[in-house]
Amino acid sequence: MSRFLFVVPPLAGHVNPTIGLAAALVGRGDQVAWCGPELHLRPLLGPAATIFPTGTRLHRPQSDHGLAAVRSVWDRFIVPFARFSLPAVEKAVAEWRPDVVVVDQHSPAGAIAAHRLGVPWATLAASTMELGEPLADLPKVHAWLHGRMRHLWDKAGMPADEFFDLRYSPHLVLACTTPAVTPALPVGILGVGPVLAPRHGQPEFPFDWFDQGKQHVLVSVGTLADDVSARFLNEMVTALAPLGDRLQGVFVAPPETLPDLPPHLVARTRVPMLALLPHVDLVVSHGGLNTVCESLAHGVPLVVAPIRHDQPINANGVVAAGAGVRAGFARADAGLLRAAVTEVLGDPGYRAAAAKVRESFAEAGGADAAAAALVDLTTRLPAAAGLSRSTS
Amino acid sequence: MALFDEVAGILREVVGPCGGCPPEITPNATLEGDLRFDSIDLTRVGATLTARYGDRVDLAGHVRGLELDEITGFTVGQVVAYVEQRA
Repeated sequence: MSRFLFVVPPLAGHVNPTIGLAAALVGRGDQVAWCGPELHLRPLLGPAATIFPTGTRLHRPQSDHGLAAVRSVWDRFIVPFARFSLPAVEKAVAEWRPDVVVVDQHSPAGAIAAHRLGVPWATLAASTMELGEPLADLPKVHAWLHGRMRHLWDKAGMPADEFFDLRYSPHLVLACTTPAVTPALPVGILGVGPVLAPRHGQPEFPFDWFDQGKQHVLVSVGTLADDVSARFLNEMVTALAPLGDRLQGVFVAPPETLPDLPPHLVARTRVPMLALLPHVDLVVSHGGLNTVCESLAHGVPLVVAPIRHDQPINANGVVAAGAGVRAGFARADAGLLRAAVTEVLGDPGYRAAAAKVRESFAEAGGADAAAAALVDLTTRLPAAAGLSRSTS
Repeated sequence: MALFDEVAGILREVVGPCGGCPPEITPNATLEGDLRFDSIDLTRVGATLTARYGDRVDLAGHVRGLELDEITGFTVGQVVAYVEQRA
């Protein structure tokens, strides 16, 4: 029996993979706990989860894109949150004494704490932003990113000569994707595919609304309160409006933001994604890794309209796999979007390619493979004697 | 200015028709922020500029070598100045 502590940011897309991973570990008889802002984690993890709270800082919702978004995610979120949460993370590791700390790639406080306390740790990549160094062909941006990590390391009072890239554990790096959809996945990183598991507190959905004689489209572009998102959703409604004879569309959006929808379209603030996907023929997404991989894990092709972070990378991965097409989030109008939707729905090749990616996920092993690698780490690198768990 | 209009025409082609979204192509418009350029757009514009103005014009290479703030703040006017200098 071993103990695994997940250090995660307060973002559903980063917490969700740890739920499936935790379930696989608990199924093997191991113990799990999380360290992060309880306010955000508790609704995702449910009342029974053990959470070591870090407290919560307010972070401005992002409306940037491109490199400006890369800068703001590091300067306004990753770095300040790591500095803010580091004492609580170190306290959790010292108190609970996990055998392995599983550190989200955007929670470098976990890496610093595990290194300082001498506890084996693994990196969990829930996005593709830091896989294959997409910024490497921007040398000064790449240097800036390393400077941000160096700043964190120095501010934590860590020895300068022990500095390393906090995004990668030297022991084990797990990624929630496979080369089938992320061709740049570096050798040495264990791509286990998406880690799916039943989620706590999922909303209802009126499944009998679906007309079995029609195709079903799910439009999920995140919950961004900016006018570019509103524009995209409205163009998408116009794109699907004349297609009521052949399809039904579900928009993940507050119903009041999309008034006067025709009867074959519906807007829901939240949907039970994993329960819906078996009924869906096409997902229109901004290309977050979770949504892309959850869709492909169900063999569902995509239209991807990327906005920021790893979304353009994931969009290109979907296109390269033949499992969908890419559309311009800020620019595509109703005509272009209708063409993209009818193209993917009309050509069975996209669905066949999505099924191939699904096979790669099944081979990669998902939660079970990730759990096995973590358990293996406990035997390869037993926790330092000074931190071995008390038997009391 | 003739060069500005030529470059603006190339940018307009990449930005393309859309649901009334991108602002006008003015000298002060930033590629990433105002025109919503991504790396693919930059590569396409760069290739078109190279084809028209010669191999010494490598916009994408030039921009990739800049600091983060210089990249996010890169304007249409700077594209024109770069082409003018290199062509």
